[in-house]
Amino acid sequence: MRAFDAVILENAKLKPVILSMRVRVPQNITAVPGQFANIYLDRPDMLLPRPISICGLEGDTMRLIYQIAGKGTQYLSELERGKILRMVAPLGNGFNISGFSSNLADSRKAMLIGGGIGAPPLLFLAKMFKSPLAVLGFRSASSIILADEFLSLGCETVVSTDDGSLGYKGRVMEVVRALAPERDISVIYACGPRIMLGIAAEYARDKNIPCQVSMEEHMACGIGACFCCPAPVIENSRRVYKKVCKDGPVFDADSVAWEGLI
Amino acid sequence: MNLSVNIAGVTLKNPVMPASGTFGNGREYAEFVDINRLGAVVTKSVSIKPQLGNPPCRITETASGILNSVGLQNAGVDAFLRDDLPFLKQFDTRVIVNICGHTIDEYAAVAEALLGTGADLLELNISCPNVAEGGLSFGVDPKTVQRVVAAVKKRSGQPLIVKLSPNVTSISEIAAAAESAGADAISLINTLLGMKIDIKRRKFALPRKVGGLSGPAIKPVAVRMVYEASRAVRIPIIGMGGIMTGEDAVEMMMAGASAVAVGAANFRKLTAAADVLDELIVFMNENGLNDITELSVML
Ligand SMILES: Cc1cc2nc3c(=O)[nH]c(=O)nc-3n(C[C@H](O)[C@H](O)[C@H](O)COP(=O)(O)OP(=O)(O)OC[C@H]3O[C@@H](n4cnc5c(N)ncnc54)[C@H](O)[C@@H]3O)c2cc1C
Ligand SMILES: Cc1cc2nc3c(=O)[nH]c(=O)nc-3n(C[C@H](O)[C@H](O)[C@H](O)COP(=O)(O)O)c2cc1C
Ligand code: FES
Repeated sequence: MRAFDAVILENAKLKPVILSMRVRVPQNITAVPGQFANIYLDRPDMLLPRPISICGLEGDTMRLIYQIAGKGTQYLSELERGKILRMVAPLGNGFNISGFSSNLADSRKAMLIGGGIGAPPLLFLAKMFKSPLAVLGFRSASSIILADEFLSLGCETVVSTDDGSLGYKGRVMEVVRALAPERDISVIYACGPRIMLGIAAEYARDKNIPCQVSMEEHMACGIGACFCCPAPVIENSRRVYKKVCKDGPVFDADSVAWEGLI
Repeated sequence: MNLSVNIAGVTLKNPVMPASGTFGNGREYAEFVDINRLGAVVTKSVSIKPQLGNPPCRITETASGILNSVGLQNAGVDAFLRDDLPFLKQFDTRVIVNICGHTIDEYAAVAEALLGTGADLLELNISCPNVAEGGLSFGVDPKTVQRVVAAVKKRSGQPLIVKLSPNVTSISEIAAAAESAGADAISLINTLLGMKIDIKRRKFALPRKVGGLSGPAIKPVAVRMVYEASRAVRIPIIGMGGIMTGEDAVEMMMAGASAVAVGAANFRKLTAAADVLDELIVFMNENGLNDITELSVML
């Protein structure tokens, strides 16, 4: 975790409200999939940094994919190539891959479940596996992002849309339920709306498959100091609040106290 | 150039410190800020027992401000003494331990647990708007302020700073009450009670409905209250509320503060507290000031 100035190399629309930004970061920045970057806006009226998942890091080029969700991301979307952004990265605990990715003799697959703007960190994660299964759900054909990139990485890629305008019709977890019995899944990684994470967690528990979920919460410091980003977690059979920014954003699905969350 | 200030008999090498709750207990920020540069570190509120805190969402942004509803989550005084105080004592700075409680007895018990430890000063948080009992309810009535301050004074060792709430009709009256009950210094302001509604979802932005407003949006209120309090008491004042720059710190000190605390600014920039100090020094140089205490007589 370091504070640095990043230079915008590209800030291009993938969809009317989704952009792919590439920034140049210092050479020695490294990151694990699931970790995030905080982007500082340098605006007197918007004090808080915006957390965005790291979608890729190659050499000194970091990629961030974000949806215009409000004033801050609107402001970001208007920035041009060459502009300097203050950032702190990498932040948080990413996906745990050790023990799941390296065993070539294991013919079982890792399953990545993405809902909407939850797909970007999974693209980074997909690079760590040999042909994982990526199940990606979107609202409709017009909001599909990154499916082609998952495919070209060698992922078995399944796309669903809520309205059936492309791919399977239905919610992503319905597709998972329909598909997965035919697959031998060793581990599940999920990122997306909280309701989707809860269903993925329940599914994984039923099937006895290890599952990790990436949680979201409003944040202030981003480094674990202010307690603004609580994640309800069961620890020693007691419900406690962990910090999404530091203990997460990735949590073992089993440790999350889902009740009341979804 | 002399930057040092005296707060209740304790010398701070400069007047800049982080505000309670925005800097954790220093550990995380130490990766970005040289803690040795700060005049003091003020801890997150410490209670006698661990405190769970409020359910999410705890923070939301408003125009030039933030509304928080953390609810004093902390691991309790035993864990603080074991894990955090030794860490803070490694640095060449003063440690101000902010204490909170649900009852007068709980406040006094935390103060007592800190007797003889490395804490240099205590800050009594009787102004938190984010808990159901305790907190703010102790800080809005002069008689209650006197009772809690006197009770804590009786059982504490270190000099006591009393942190005041702006959610009152007369800050002068509350400040005078704290002083009369034995406060060695006062700090203000804690957050202003506020509310935000998400009109698209038709929901309160914070599940507790209300939260504490801080940041540049509240600075004029803070400056006014520091000024009024400084007219009402003789004990030193630590001023805070919306300080983002060295010039903001100068303004607060001109209003009557002997020292300043930097809160929400730490979120906007992790090095904000040290940056405010740097900018304060630039201001003094540019204005030919040799002693920080000159600021208090410049108005
Ligand atoms: C760990 C993490 C990773 C994320 N990764 C991505 C990503 O890769 N791509 C992407 O598009 N979005 C991501 N988000 C969500 C993104 O942070 C918000 O959409 C963004 O902060 C909205 O800012 P705004 O100013 O446009 O919206 P506003 O609603 O105007 O923001 C107001 C305040 O609320 C906060 N806020 C609003 N929505 C969210 C949210 N969903 N999560 C956290 N804070 C929020 C903002 O940070 C800001 O402080 C991530 C969030 C977290 C916590
Ligand atoms: C997220 C957050 C947490 C806070 N926690 C505490 C706390 O635990 N105890 C306390 O006395 N004040 C707490 N405060 C209040 C600050 O110390 C300070 O009084 C207030 O925010 C005004 O200063 P600012 O405008 O510079 O932030 C908190 C403020 C924020 C924003
Ligand atoms: S945002 Fe401050 S602890 Fe997570």
